[in-house]
Amino acid sequence: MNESKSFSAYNGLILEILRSFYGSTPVSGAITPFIKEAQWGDIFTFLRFHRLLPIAYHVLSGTELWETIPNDFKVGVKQASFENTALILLLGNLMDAAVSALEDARIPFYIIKGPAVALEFYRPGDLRPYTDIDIVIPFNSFSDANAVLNDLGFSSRGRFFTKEYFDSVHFSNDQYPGFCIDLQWESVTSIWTREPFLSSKEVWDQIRLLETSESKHIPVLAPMFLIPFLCTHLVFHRPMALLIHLMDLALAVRDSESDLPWDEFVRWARYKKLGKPVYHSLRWTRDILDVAIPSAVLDALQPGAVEKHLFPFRRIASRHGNMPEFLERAIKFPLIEGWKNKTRSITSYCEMFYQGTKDE
Amino acid sequence: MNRLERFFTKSEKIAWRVVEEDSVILDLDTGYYYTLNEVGRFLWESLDGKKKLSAIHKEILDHYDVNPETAKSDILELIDNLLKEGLVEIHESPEEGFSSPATP
Repeated sequence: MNESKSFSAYNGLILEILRSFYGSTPVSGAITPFIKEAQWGDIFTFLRFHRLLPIAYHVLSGTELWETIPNDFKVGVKQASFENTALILLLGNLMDAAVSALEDARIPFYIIKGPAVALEFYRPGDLRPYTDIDIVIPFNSFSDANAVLNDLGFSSRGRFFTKEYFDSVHFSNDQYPGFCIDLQWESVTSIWTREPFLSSKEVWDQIRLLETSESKHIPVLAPMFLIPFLCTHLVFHRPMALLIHLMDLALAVRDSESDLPWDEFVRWARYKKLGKPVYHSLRWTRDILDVAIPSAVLDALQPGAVEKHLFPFRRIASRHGNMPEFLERAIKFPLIEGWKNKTRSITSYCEMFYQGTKDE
Repeated sequence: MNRLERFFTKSEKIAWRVVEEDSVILDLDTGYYYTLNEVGRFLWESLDGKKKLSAIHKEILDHYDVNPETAKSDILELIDNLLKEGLVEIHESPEEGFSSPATP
């Protein structure tokens, strides 16, 4: 890796931005004089890849440090924040329409990922970038939900999916190309483990209603299930180990840890065969952001001595762009528990690839 | 038409947010977005249909160290642009239910 692009070369500033936002503390900027002029472009690329530009603008602007930063960087960060806010406004409008239509059609649903964590944990919510709306529905409601989304102008190219190998279907909108709704019925991990996660009765029974600033109510996951879901999202999403996903998890833990039944949490994660991704994700949030993860939880979930040190998070997180898909899958592979599940992950990937070519 | 003696409201087809000191306004019909700086944001937030543009002009003079004539021409230019883009609506009288503020 090129040293000038290494996380360690300017990790002080990146960490300060992350920790300042997480802890709501001012950024000191002590590291800034040591950042070379040429590195600011790399920092911008890094922040964009990890979807941290709005947070960086929020944390840095208005401080004395802001005046010492090169103008090109400031203009770029500010512009990116404006564009992100406009996108979030548009997606929020689309989400409101989708939520109302699903409610009118009496289809059970809840919202996950970007829009849900933005609403619940980020202040203001548009500091959390996202580009699609992820809606979980029961699989047997798929055709009804499909019709609802069609009426809203969303359509899917995925015609050959099966419940066994797929966890979601992607819908796009001709009026707003690039803005998508994902209809999801499971987590990708359930395809491998055959253990219901997002579709399980206990998860549906504990769905909460989140009140928005417009006094609407959005159904979301309970913390008991949200936290393991965010753990799996951090390590299994492509691209993996994005720092915005780390922030999602850190904020969710911070706001829930005192009420969370950690013993039950550990038992549940183990039962669902999610011990490794949960362990590594929680450990990373503790190591990077000093999130208060009970030691007993990490002790209970920790894998063997070799596996414990197998995932150099800082090195993975230091990249400025996507790594080859095969390499990323190879890195994630050991996090899948058991050879049976590993084999299923390969099978499902092959099936998705094959079906993708049919949909083309 | 003396726009300074008119009342303005934000269009219903827009959504907007504050981003640090500025504002981002999104036209939900077109998907176009617009940004306003701190003073523009002050004006935008004041467009509630309750007070005349001349009253908002006075408030801007109270808040910011600007030349009154320059401020007036900037306000009129901005309001014309907002009208042209369909982001605001103009009214002869204050929005129903509200009393008209005193003319400065």
